[in-house]
Formats: sequence, structure tokens, C-alpha cells
Amino acid sequence: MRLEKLGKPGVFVVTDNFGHDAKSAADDNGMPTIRIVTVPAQEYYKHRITKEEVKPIAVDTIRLLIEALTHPLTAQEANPKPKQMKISQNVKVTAESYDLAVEKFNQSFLDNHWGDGLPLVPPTPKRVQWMLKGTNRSPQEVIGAVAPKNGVATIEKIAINAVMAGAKPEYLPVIIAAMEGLTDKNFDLLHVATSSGSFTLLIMVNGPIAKEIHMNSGIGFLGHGWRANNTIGRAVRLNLINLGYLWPAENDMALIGRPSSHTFYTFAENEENSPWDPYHVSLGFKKENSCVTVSTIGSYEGGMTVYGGGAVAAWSPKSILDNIIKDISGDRKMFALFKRGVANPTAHPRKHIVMLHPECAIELQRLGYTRESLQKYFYDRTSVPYEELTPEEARGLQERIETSIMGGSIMADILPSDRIPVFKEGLKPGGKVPVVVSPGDIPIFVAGGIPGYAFGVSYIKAPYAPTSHQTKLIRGATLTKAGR
Amino acid sequence: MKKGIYLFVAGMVWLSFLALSIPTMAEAVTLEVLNPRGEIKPPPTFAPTPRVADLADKRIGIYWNGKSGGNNFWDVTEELLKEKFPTATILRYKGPFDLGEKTAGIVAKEGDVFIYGVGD
Repeated sequence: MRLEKLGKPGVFVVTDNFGHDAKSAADDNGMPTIRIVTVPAQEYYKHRITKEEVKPIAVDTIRLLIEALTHPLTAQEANPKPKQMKISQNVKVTAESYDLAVEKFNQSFLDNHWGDGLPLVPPTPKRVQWMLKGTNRSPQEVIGAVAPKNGVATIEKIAINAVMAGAKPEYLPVIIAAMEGLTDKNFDLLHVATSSGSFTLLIMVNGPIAKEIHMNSGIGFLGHGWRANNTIGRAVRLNLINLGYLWPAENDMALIGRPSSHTFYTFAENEENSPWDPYHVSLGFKKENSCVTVSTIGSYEGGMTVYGGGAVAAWSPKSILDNIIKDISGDRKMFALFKRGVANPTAHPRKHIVMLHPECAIELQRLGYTRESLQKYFYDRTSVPYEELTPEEARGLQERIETSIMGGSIMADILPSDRIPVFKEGLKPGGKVPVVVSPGDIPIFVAGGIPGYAFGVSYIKAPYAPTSHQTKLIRGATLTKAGR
Repeated sequence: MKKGIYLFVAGMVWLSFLALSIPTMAEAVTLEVLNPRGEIKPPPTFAPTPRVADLADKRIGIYWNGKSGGNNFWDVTEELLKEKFPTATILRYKGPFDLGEKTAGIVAKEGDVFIYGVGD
């Protein structure tokens, strides 16, 4: 689209399974008649491994490519109609009984792609007003735009979706704060919402509101059975569907779906059993504040690495620390793999969220660790001495530094300007090169019960916006003592 | 005869009462709900650039995002284009999904037409 706008005729090539997604993105970005040629996904993916195998597909496609570049634009293509969109405020469903009306409402919402596949609570005006009692913020206040289609998130729209999710009004300020994190201009919502990589979200609540609304942070904290955990996460999911206009296989291309996709991983930090100040305090918030952290994490493949704990195998703080260091050290692969734009997840720096069960955190605190010193410990122990770098690793790092200075490549590849000097120093005799960009890229949370597990979830540096991790203050609450 | 008329009228009255006492149809229920969809501000609309008449002598750019196996597909495509248009020049580029403003400027300057292939 950028090239078309610069006056160069082009054609966009995708597999047919992504054709709808490509057309949808073209509509969203104001060039609905851009020419798109699709190749059959069923043939392409399995045959792309060699030139010989993929040749028949290229032969079948070449005529279409030539035509797309040379056949004159039709009148319709040359004069695309501006996108018109009118949204009705109310929807009426009529049936012979209330039960049948609710059933009809559910089917109609799902048919419209307004639901998530589970039964919805009808967002009647009365019920939405009830939900809005949870906040003193104006229903018309705009929170932001939700990717990929940039539907506007207002407090009222968030409340409507919260009703549908089965949330209670006292959860609404938490849901709003989560949406503020996801729609923040610095947060890369586009990638987690749409990528074929099946990434998902972690939503963690800190501060006194978590206890007031009965969030689970103990045994089973990522599971079912807790209305606050489950419906806060589900409300976020429905907001992404209805404000971002997301739908599987249309523009949400998660190939195997997203783990915990109805509710995401929504939980509270176990502040009661943590030996340290809550996570949000480590970011500068006050202890009496309540906050929500939203963070993109990996999927089924490499999504969760258990470091130790549990009720079966014996563990020690040392064994867990060693396993964490081993896991993070794997990021060293990205040193040599730096190539501009290559879509290889191991070629990018990563964020590692370390989840410690309370027993482990207590033991580490006894050994003298704080949350911050532990982050620094992981950062230092995984850094690689200059003398141990292979020539290929040194070349990749040098190229990454130079590209970052020039401002090229994608955000997932470039180093933030304040970290470039660290990498430059590391590339000198006696220096050490970090495998994570900064200690802050290893957030440490305390969660779970006793016994519990220590585990890690990770994600590449976000490709389309500066960050994949945001913490927002919960405010405007009217029904809880916290979060006001 | 009179008795018959009385009986008929009485029967009709009774039937009317009966009809009123049997519900003919359950009363319809209308559920009014609020629309959960967010408003979308329409973006400015652009048309694609007019096409070229022929690819002979043209500089054809192929942009690829580096996803595995795409190189094989584009290598074959390049060969086929060279066969069909021997006087054309094929330019190959590799970069992220969105090539960005800076690279777009370079690609647009170097080529006459382009094929944007991101591999999925």
C-alpha cells in the first residue's frame, strides 16, 4: 500500500487462507481495491520446501501476477467507495417466550460474530446501567482504538461487553484498566490479536482491589471457578472481538487458537504470601494503588517452561534458579540470527516473565534476593563474555547495533537507544553481551498456592509497537474501597 | 322453533366464553439489547496506481518478508518472469511484513512495478 501511494503499481501475494485477512486489512487501511493474488495454501505450504516442488504453483500463478500488473484498473477499482459504517445503538430480538428470546439473542450474536461461542448475558439497557454503576467515569469517555480494525473503546462499550461476559459492576474498573493497557499506543495489540503464532495474553491484577473482588491467586489461579478471574478475562476477550472486529480465520489467524482464549490467563499476584512488595510497587506505584498488568506471552510451542516445584518432584531454590538461567540463556541464538526482516522467532530479543510460587519466593528472600536483585542476577548470569562469542554471533550483534542506530528493520529487531551503549561495550574485550535487552525484560511475579510451580512464559520483542507489557492504574471505582 | 333459537344463541354465547378463556397464542417477548460493536472511523480512501501496459523493459521488484520457503517460490517466479520478459530487470528485496516508509521510498525509486509477497 505504501508503494502504491508512492505511484508504483503492485500486487499483493498471499495464500488463499489469508485472502480474506488481506482484503480486510486493505479495507481497514483505505485501499479496498488493491490487487491481491492468492496461491492455494493447501499446495503452497507443503511444497515450498524446494524450488522444484514449489515450481508448479509458481507456474500457475505467474499469469495472474502479470495480469495484476498490466491489466488496466476497472472503473470500480479506480474509484473505490469510501467506507461507510453505521452502527445501530439497540438491537431487538422477539420470540414467543423469554427463554426463546435469550436463545435467539445468543444465536444472533454468534452469527454476527459478536460472541465468543459461550452463552452470553443479554446486555439490556438496564443491565448495562447496572454495570456502569461500578465506575464514576463517563460512559462516553474514549479509552482508545482496538486493533486490528480500530473500533473505538468507550466506557459504555466496555461495559456492554462486560455484561455479556457475566462480570459484576465491581470488576468494571479492572476491565477498563486492562483495556487502557491494550489500547495504549505503545502496546502492540495488533500482533497478539492477529498473528498466526497463536500468542495470548496474561492479565495480572495487583493491589487491594484483587482481594475485594475475590480474585484467585492461589492453587488453580490460571483455571476456572473464580468469577472475577474468569469474567474479567472474558470481558477483555469480548471487547477485542467487538471493538477490534476480530474473528478466527478472518483476521485472527491463530492457527491452533490461543491458549485460554475465552478468558486469557487472568489472575492476581499472591501478595499475601509474597515476601516482597507487590509487582506494581516495583514499578513506582503506591502499595495502596491497584493496577492491572497486560502482557503478551507465547503460545503452545515454547509457551510455558516449568522450572520446578509441584507436589511430586523435589526442588531447591538453586535448581529453580539454574533452570531459569538455562531457559533464558537459550536466547543467545538471536545473536547470530540477526537478519533484517527474517521472520524467525529465535532471531529476536525476548521478554521472560518468571512466575514464582510463594514457597520459592520466600526461600529466595531468605537467601537475600529482592525482586530487583533477582532480575539483575538473571540478566548478569545469562550475559555472554565477549571472548566466548563466535565470529557469527559478533557479526550479528554488530549488525543489530548498526541497524538500531540507523533506525531500520522491525521493532522486534532493533535495540532501544538507551541500551545500544550497553551492547557496544559488551562487544569489546572484557565486555559481556546481554541476551535480554534489559533486566526489566525479566518481570518476576509471585503467584500460585502452596505447593505451587515456578514457571516462565516468554514472547519476542513486539514487532509493531514499542512494547508488549503495560501496567495501568485502576481508577474510578465506586463499589470497592480500592481503585477509586 | 323458538326453543331452537334460544339453544343456538346460548350455544354461541358459551362458545364465545370458551374461545376467550383459551389462549390462542403466547404473548411475544421482545428483548432489547445494546450493540456491543465499536464505531470505526472510516479511513481516507485511496485508489491503486494505474497499471503499466507491458512488463518488457520494466524494473520488477519482488519484496519478501523472509518466511521459510518463500525464497524458493520467488526464485522460480523470478526465473519465469525472465523467460517471459527477457528485457525486464528483476530486483529482489527482503524485509519485515511492513517495509516501512524509508524502505518503501528506496523500493519505489528503484522499481517500476512490484510484487509484494509476504509468504503467508
